Amino acid sequence: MNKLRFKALLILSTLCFSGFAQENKDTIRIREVIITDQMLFNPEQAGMQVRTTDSIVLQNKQGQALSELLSENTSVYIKNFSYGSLATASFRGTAASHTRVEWNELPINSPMLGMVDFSLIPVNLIDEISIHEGSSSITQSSGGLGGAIELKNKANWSNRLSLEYTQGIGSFHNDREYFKLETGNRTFQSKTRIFRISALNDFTFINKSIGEIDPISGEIIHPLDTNTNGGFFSHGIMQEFYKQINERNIVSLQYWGQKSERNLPRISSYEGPDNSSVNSYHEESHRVAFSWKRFTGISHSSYNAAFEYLDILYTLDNEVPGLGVVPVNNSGSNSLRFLQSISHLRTLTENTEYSVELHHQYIVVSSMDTVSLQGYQKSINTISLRNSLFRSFGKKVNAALIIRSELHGENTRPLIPFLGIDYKPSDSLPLVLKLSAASNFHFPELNDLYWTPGGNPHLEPEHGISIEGGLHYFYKRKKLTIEPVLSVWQSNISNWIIWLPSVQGYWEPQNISEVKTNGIQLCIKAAYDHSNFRLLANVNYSFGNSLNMGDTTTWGSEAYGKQLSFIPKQAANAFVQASWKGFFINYSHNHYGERFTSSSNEPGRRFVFYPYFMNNIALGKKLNYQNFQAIAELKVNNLFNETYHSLLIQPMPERNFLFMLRLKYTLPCKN
Amino acid sequence: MQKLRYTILIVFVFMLVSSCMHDEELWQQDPLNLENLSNRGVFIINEGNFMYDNASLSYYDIENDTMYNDVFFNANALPLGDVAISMQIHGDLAYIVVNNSGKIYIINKNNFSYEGKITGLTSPRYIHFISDEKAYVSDLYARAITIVNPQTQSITGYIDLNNGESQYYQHPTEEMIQVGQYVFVNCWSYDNKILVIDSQTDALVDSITVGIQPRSMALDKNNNLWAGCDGGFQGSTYGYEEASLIKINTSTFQVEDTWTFDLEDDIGRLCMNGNRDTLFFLNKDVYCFPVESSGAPQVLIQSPYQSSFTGFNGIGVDPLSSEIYVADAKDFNQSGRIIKYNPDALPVDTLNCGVIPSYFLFTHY
Repeated sequence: MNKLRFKALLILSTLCFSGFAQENKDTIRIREVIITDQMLFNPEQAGMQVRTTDSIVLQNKQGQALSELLSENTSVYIKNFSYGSLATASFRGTAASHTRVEWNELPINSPMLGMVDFSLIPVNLIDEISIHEGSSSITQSSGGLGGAIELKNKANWSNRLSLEYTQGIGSFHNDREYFKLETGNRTFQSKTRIFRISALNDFTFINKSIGEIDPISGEIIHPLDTNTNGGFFSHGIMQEFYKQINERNIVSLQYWGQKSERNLPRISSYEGPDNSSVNSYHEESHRVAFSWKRFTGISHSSYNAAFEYLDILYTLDNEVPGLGVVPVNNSGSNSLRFLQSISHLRTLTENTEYSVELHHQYIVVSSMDTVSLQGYQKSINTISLRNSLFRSFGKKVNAALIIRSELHGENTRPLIPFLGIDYKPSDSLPLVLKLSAASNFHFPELNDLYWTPGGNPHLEPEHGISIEGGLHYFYKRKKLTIEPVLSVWQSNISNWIIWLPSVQGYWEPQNISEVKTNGIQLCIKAAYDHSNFRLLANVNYSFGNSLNMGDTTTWGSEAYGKQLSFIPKQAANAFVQASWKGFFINYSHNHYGERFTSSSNEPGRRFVFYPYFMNNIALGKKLNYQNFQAIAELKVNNLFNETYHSLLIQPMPERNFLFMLRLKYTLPCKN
Repeated sequence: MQKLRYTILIVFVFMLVSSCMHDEELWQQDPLNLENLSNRGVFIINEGNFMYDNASLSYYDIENDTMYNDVFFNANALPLGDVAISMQIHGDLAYIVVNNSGKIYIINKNNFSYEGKITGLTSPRYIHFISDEKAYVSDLYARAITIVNPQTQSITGYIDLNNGESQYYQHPTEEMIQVGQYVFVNCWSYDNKILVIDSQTDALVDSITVGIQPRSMALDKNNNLWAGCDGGFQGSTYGYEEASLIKINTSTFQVEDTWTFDLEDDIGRLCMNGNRDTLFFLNKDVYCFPVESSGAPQVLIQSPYQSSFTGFNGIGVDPLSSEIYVADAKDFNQSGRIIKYNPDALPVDTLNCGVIPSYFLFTHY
């Protein structure tokens, strides 16, 4: 019956595409609309919580990893367990695999693990970041039970020639270089970006996890240690071509290749041989995205084709007496992803728009540990059909209805619906009330299904049902603008997948849990301009519960109804920039409330991690001379020289510095 | 105006030198009052989560019915480390093997004070004392038994166990039991051998082939060695078979008897009662088996958990009272508990402990 329903939808969508050559507009335009602050009331965003990261913030974070930008400037929660290590993103108390991430329409979540390591993505590679919170992610893809992050590159059609070179030198042998060349005219643009980052991260710290007996006093003393095995090296290239064929058609081709190597620091209590317990992680990726967009007065059509090759190698080496260093784990995975999508948006009446998107993805994965000779090879096809209807009811109500249907391998998922409503109480007041309800599914990742040992091919998809509400206001008076966004949400996720220890000694994923999340979030953007002085502020605050309502016979009753471990109830960040005649000062503050490290939220030193407060500052000067621009900037991280540890008692660095120098030459197109 | 400027300056300077995060909380000890500590108790190793550095040591005073948790940290302001596995007592000192920290901590068994450590171990699992100057340390990855001198707290040599196989199918040594001059060592992960080491020559002299993945061993009153094999797992390149319980004659090094379980079963955590006439082991539930019985092992204590995940993770039997201590790790992500049963397997007490309790060591008996 499900298959029949899916086929019917497929035929319907094919019929819709019979008008493909006609005039339309599409999702691309929808996404571009939301970056305009004044456009609060748009049927294509009805009920949705979508935010685009401010370009000032993007500029400020040049030379840093995307994980830092997201944790310090958005409501996204970044989890990383040691300095420079894997950093994953999650929304509203959900898991990292519930955050879908796309780069120019291409999903970049690992097909094996379902997550993205944001510490490997330099901000310099991205031109725009859109955050789709909660059920708003359904516009992008299914599976984003927490939300979606959209990374975009785009052409600057007014550019003729732009050359940019950035060099950064910082503490702990931190060395980074970025080069960008943009060239073209009003109809063709090329962008080339090359980068290289290396850091030893060899900071020193008093290691309180190791004790020595002082031969004189007999007291236990702690050594001054160095964070060894924390080195990181990454280099890559991104090439983009954009071509306006005519007024109605644009094509683009983008390539992103990157290679990263990272050592994973040992736990701080380690006192084994120097050459043992050496972990390293290698990742090589190649991504290509092609896009054709056709715009007309009443429609927008697009075709996307993309390809991704991902090669991951995790190694663990130990020293064996008499043999030297031998591998214990040499676990490699590579995946190929092919994607095609075609979409069409059409204005049906003055107040009604309809869009449809057909999306096909094929993934093939090969995973093998060459030491144990265990692994798996699997492939999976996903076909997704999205139908959307946007309608305005007078001047006060907008509504969006989205229905997705998916065929994932052999399985058809139930329909994924989203209904969003915007209400504007007054024509003169720039205030919009938002309300939405949705149901979403997240299919198990390939490692959940097939990893050896433990993969569970009988896992069911996770199912989330959510309702959200919010207020979006835009205030402008003379030189001051303030844009507060308030949102509240409640979500129930059943069949939550979690890895548990089995009696046979290894861990296996199970659908045993139900998680209820609810919370409130306030985001405020403000700007003030006066003569040469400009002040910008971006503040985010959220308070939320992520409660484990799982089966007590599996979890033990103590964990029932408790906050999920490592997820803070309270999070806040603030970014303020003040600039005057080329001088600027940026201040950022990041806070997480206490976090529980146990499922039962036990009190006490071992189980409640102290609240996190981090303050960073950057001072700089921008110099302009004709077409040249130079920016010198000194960043001070951990401004107040906090001694602190990560959630897993890994040492973190005290105050540290990064000096960045950016040189830019720009030649705009002649009119 | 001038005052305001000074105030702002003072606040800013204060912010620069002050600390918002309370890192010191991580290292605060709870008071440890040992005045009434009796000389009969049981140490409980709480393994902790892999890579969390949250292993801990608990001590239950049997005489006074008092549980002392996190005693290593509270006595020394030093975390125990990552994945504590086992413990042995030699004289007045207790040796705690901390697997993923690559070391063995040495403490005074009476007041838990830190006395030293043996470092430089690849992936240590268990320690076995041959004499005051010599002990063996089994190791998951070293392809050798490490010989240490407990008095100098140093590594003195290795017993090479390299079997010439590919890098993964080397002997990952686990528990050690000595009968006469021979030390029997089970090799759990991707192996099916119990090795026989001559403690006088420090050489491998023989090996006994058993079921796939022998996890645990115990010695009965007749000096027969019992081994529980988990049978591997589905998809393992080393093979997957029914779990088994195996009885070995330690004089002839021959397998004398085998009891086979279901494919999904897992036999582990073997231990004996004080008289060494009854074998206890975990297979999700607690099983017991008189060592001279010809029947099949029976469930003695049923796990309260319905699924085959989570729950019982260790077992110990008081050699004096024959009371049974079962370690319940719950979901492996919170503090566990010890459920104490009388010899008739009726629950008599529940004691809170650390994260993932797994190993018991009775003292002063």
